[in-house]
Amino acid sequence: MASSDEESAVAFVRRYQRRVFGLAAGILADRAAAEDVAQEALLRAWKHAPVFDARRGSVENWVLTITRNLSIDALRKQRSTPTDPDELVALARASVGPSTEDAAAAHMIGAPLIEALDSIPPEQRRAVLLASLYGRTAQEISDAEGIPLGTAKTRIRAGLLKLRDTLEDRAEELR
Amino acid sequence: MTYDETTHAHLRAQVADQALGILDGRGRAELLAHVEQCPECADELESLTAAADALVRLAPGHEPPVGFESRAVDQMRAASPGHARRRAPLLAAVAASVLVAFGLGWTAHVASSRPTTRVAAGQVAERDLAGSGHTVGAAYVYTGSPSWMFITVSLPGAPSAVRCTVVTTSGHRHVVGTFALASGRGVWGAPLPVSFTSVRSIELATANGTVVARLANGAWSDASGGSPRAGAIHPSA
Repeated sequence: MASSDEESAVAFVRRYQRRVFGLAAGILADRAAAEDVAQEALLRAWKHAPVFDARRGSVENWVLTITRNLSIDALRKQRSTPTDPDELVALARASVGPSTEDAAAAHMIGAPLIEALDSIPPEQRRAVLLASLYGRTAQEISDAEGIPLGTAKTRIRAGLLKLRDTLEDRAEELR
Repeated sequence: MTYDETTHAHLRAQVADQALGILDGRGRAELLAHVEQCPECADELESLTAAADALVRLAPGHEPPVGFESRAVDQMRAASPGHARRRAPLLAAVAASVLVAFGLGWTAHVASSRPTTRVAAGQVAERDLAGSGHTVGAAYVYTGSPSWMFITVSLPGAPSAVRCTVVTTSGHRHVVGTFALASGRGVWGAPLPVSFTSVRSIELATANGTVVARLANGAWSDASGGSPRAGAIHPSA
């Protein structure tokens, strides 16, 4: 690797490592597994950076999406017990404050997201998070939560629609 | 429109699952075919996908373990095309020759199409060797028992032989041997005189004691206590 590439690689890792490791650890509740996932996510993003399409969103979201997908793969392989989605929301809620290192980003992105999640009925929020961050299907949510399949599907769909509407309203207010 | 309202209503209910990435393959194919013809569902899918994607930002940032950054950069370096091309043939040959020479029953599979060597047990850890501020080679250590090491190095202008010394975390120095270089290039393997966890550095020096290369990025046993990360060669599961 040329020295300029090495410097770029170091800068890339330093920029995203906290968010990437935070997401993997937040989902997996296992620091060793989270480190493996975070390392692989950064490596994949680095290798595929030439084909990144900036029109489809930010680099950070792209790297985090890779991290989320790898975390879901790790959950499926290891069958370990992940962080409960309600705990993850509580953790995120606690992190949004002026004293946190991520304060600026939290107020720009985290706070509206948490407010939007808080506007959703808890059982719908839980279903949306189980599907989005943990890769659980409606059938798996039905089994895990002890609810009929139709109810699981309704919670997922209604919860995501509500999340979308609230985030769009908030974005409209900020314009 | 080339679809009926019943189909539209049925597939519209699948849009949230697709946005969340949990729709199965068949359902995904049906929905995406429908979306091609239905602007209403296309808009719905786009907006719901944006909402679902925003959830990856929920988890707060968290400081990774000590050594994470250097390990991540090491992986990127190992994955760079120049690195793989430079080391693959040499590494495969050296790994195979070391395994055969020791005759310890390890099975080695050298894949011709990939820069990968598989070893039956233990792990193979890799670190660069640095000299004069540049990467001049690599050291590979098999972490099983007994441990062994092999070295590849390119030192233009170096004498015809270098002495290889392993320095332990307690400061003891173990001379592994003196190895020949041809036009500055050399490849050799040898049993590791100490446990790999106690290796702090590996040094190559000329006859007058001048160190011309040493292990870069510190020892394998880092401060986090993490296991070694395999580089261009990987242990089998």
